[in-house]
Amino acid sequence: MISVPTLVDWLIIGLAFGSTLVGAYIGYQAYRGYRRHDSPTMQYLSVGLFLLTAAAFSIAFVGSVLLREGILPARFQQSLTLLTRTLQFLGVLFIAYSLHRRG
Amino acid sequence: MSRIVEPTSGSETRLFLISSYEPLVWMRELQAVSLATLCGPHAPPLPAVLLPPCSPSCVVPTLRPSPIWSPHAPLFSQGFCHTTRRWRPPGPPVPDGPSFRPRRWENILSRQLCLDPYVSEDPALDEILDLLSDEYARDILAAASEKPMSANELAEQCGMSEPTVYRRISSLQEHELVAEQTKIETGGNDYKLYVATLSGFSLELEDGSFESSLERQSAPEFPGQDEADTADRFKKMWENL
Repeated sequence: MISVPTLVDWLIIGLAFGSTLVGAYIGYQAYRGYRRHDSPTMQYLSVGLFLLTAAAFSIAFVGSVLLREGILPARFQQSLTLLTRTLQFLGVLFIAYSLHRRG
Repeated sequence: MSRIVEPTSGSETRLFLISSYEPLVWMRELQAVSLATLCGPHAPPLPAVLLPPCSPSCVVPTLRPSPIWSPHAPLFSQGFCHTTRRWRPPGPPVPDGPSFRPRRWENILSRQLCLDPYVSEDPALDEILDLLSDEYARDILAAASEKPMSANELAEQCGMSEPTVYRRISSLQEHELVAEQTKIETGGNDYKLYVATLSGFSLELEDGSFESSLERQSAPEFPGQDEADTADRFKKMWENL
């Protein structure tokens, strides 16, 4: 059965989508900085930002939609959460590394 | 103490010789003498002229004293000199007659107050031109205009010794052509960074006089503030955190 999302649900979806987009934009600017100046610092920063914002959000979002719709079996919920948190952790790790590199 | 000397050459002015070079001493003596001579029983029929201490044999024929607003204003008649310049002897007398070009207020006042008729009208311009004519100072400004640099880095990049760098930087700082920033390092050894604030200098000849203009830019609050492209700004900001 397909449940009709309420207004709050739409808001949550909208904000998650917005965060993904803005995070992707920041990551893209960092990536451009890496390409223009060939700087490894910006490379790690762009990867980290991308992982933290865009990748984690989109995986979480898509996964939750799939779970809700029943396409993905319910037993995968915990692994989905694990995957999301791992991506977030890797993202901040990369950002911290690029900060610490003193490039 | 000052004394009155009757001139022997037959001229009709009285001369007052002042006892010392100190301007404050002159002022006191001037007041004493002028009150006595202007109000006393022996007030001279002709105006009196003040001379610095020197031997009577080197008496210099000076200007006719007149009110402060006339172009023939004498050099020492009144006014308190606010500068700490040492006294210098007056130059040749200003010529009288139709060839004399009336001076502006500032020149008259500077002659009155600073006792030096030949100081240039714009000492700051002279100093800045002197500074910019120095190759080392220009190298420092060029290097420090891209990003803040420490004195060490400037010495290395411009190929000069550190004392030279520090001397140039201190004179550049006097004219506010470089700004100083402190870079804080963990471990307590903070060092100073210098960034050029001069962005342009121009000299134009217009209406018979020179107009100089100095353009300054404020030092960026964080590195990369002035970059147009977002990615460049991001990169500079991030790498200099």
